Amino acid sequence: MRFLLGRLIQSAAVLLAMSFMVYGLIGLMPGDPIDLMISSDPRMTSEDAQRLREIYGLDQPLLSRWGAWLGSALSGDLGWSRLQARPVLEALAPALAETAVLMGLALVLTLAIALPAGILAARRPHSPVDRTIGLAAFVGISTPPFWLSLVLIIVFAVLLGVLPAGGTALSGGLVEHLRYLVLPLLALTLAGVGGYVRFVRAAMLETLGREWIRTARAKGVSENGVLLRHALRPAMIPVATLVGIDFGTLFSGALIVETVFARPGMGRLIYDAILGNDYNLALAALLLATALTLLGNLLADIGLVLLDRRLRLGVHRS
Amino acid sequence: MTGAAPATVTLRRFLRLRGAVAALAVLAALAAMTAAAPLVSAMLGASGEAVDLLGRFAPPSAAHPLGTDDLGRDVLLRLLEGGRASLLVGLVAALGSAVIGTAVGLAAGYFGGRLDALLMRLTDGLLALPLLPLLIVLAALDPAKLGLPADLATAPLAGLARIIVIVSLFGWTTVARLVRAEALRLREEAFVLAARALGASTPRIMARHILPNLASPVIVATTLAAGNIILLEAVLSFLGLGIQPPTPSWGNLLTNAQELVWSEPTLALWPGLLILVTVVALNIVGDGLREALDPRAANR
Repeated sequence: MRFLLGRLIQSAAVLLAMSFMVYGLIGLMPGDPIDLMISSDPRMTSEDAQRLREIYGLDQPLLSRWGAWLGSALSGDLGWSRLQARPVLEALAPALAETAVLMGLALVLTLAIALPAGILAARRPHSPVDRTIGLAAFVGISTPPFWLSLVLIIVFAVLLGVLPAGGTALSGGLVEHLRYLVLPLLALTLAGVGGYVRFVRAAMLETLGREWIRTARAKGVSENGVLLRHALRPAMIPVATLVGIDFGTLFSGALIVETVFARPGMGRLIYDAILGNDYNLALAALLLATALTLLGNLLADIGLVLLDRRLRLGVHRS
Repeated sequence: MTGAAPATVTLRRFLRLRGAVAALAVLAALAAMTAAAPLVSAMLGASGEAVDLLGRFAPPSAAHPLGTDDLGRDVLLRLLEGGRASLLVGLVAALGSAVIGTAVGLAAGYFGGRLDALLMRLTDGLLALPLLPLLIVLAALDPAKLGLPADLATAPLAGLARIIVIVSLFGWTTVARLVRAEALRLREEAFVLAARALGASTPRIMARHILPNLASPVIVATTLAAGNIILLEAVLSFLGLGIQPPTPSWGNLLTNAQELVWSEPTLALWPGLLILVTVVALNIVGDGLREALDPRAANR
């Protein structure tokens, strides 16, 4: 428990530091809110602009502006989205749900492919099966994810015409929604699965070299029993760690996939907000993405505690 | 062991790895072809820039081996010129990453203690962040607000320089990790202890005794990182934040290809394939170098 509490405090500190950094960076993007007001009202003079800067506190130093933002953000007011013409919170919620579904399914699918493939490859190292799986993983890692998305669009939407090339279902039931989800999900999964396969294989090989495996074999446990009952659980510890660390990469992948397939998720939202000078939305969305990533790390840590009895008993201090 | 110099031994060992040599040859051929783009242009009498609205979407022919795009520009030449930008950015950014990574890894590994803990936390933290959104923010920054003079900020090369800096800022972590591990080991070696006992200063020990021994991990890590760097540049250019059209790059050629995916799907094929081949080749060469430079594999 102490371990998790420590991680929680650490995550909060990272989030706070990130909010300051991102706040500062967003201030360095072209233009500022007052410029946007001036461009929409030709009668405004430079004195008016100066007065507006004072009213909105834009003449204040960075630190106090950030403090003011933090104060209202913590009380639940994240401001107004310029692009979507509604409060930032209202704009974030549907996008977050969209991305959570995509990322969650992709993670499940990735593990569903990577675990069996990695175990199969580790079963007989350097066998033809291992080499084939290794080659596939290698090609997967080296393929640019956005190109993979394009190729999927070309094959399944342009040439075969069986799946939509992008967007989301405007009406229709679950099946129609799923039809729009297939290609993005496939792209996001294929983009990351290669790394996982390699990692699972390495983790399995590592545990298969341990002494308790030799004991199990000596006892006469079948090969599958050794793999699944004795080697898998300890091998899952580094894999759980990777899932946590890789959360940020998964999010980056979701951004690419959502942009290519024109899906209204968090990634797409961040992209549009940054390019459209929607400061409030960009800031909140970026921090939410960071918070999600840190939450992913934290969940992986909890998984780690569940998997590793030493951590649960507090033998291992970290 | 033979009496040959270490570099010769390494070279001999590398040459024995057929896959790595082939990958290196592919890389060299790609680099040579992209560098020779102006020559190819003169030979074919075609151009990657000249717009020819009457010759749009021309099929492959003697003058246009891969046909033309939506503005009648030669596809092959745009691929070669795009490759020049992508490879150049990849190379320079990989060198930048190597410098940052070596500095961070050396400081962390050699000095150890608190500095090590801090720097490694930073490295791990960077990996755990959602990188791409942050890169997009950096790519969207206004250089004028950073205090750069306006004429410098809008110069054509500034865009190239900006993408190199941004990608370098995030590409160094692999190098830093490997260098740290090696520096940690080297610091306890007898020759370093001897140098310290003789009264050599810390900068001298670092420059004379540690850095030369770091060459192989730096080379291996940089080669392996270069693949990621090329992918990163391609993504940013694809999203419209890296190399800007009309200057072609493999990434922004794909942006254009996506818009034309219904009318001319083949346009999307080549840039992606070239990125894939480059990254695969870089990874194979990196693995080969690691094998060739690893002294523990010396007598196998």
